[in-house]
Amino acid sequence: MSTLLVTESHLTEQAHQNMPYAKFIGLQIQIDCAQQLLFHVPFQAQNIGNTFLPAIHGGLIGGLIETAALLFVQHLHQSTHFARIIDYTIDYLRPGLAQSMYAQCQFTRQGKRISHLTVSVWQEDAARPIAFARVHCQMPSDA
Amino acid sequence: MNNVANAVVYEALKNYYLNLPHCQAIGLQFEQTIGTTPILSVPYQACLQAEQHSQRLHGGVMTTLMDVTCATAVSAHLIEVEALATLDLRIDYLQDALEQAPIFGRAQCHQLNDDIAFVRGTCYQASSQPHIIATATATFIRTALPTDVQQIITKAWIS
Repeated sequence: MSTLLVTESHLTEQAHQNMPYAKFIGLQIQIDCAQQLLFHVPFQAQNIGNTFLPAIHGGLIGGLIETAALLFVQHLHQSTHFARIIDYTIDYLRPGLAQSMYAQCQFTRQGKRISHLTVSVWQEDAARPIAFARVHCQMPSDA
Repeated sequence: MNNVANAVVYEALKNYYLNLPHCQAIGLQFEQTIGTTPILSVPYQACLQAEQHSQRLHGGVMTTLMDVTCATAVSAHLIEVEALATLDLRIDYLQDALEQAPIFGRAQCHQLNDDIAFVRGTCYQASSQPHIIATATATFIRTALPTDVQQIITKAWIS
């Protein structure tokens, strides 16, 4: 198994262990070609929030955003504890269809006490996100 | 006791939301309606924990609870069955949740325009002192449904 696959499965396993909700939503952590963390939630029937389209539940999209933000901050800071989300806003841009979701995070400001990040969520095309979020985090004291 | 705009519409939409696969998966439950304020809840479950060693529900569960509670709050003002889609949702986390305890959500639609609904809600836990964990502010876009689709939903979700 390549080093990359070992790292990805290790990160995923750790996330599942440290954050039970991450396991519940079936989160998979991947590393993209730019060496950035990529959070992937494969489609499951339990993700549905609109049976007519069908579409993924907006609350689950929010859950992915929070999960991605916390794991991203912890990974980049190599901290033992998770940061604490102070507030976040999700803008829902397009319906999430019955397929995989991907999320990536970006620091807008990385501080000692407070960090600000943006999270983009998409399905087939990163340039056509289904949701976009701004997150304010309080950094853990050991960061 | 509730004083919703149309009891049949409210009942149908409320039941439709509660029975959505993701809502069922997290164990979302309906508590009661006071006036036009719905109250819903999610029981504590270890598989929905935020962290391995602290027995508190993850924010994603709170977000889902508040999204559904806010949509239900809009439904309390509707005359006909409509489709509601969340445009944006802001959550402020005021304080940590109590461990091993269910969470409750209540919301009020304070402005209903032709196309857009504005809602405010709180997520709390019932302890001897009110323990508010989070506030939510949501906007929804309304879409009219054809009569036959309205009837399908009403028939399916009124017991």
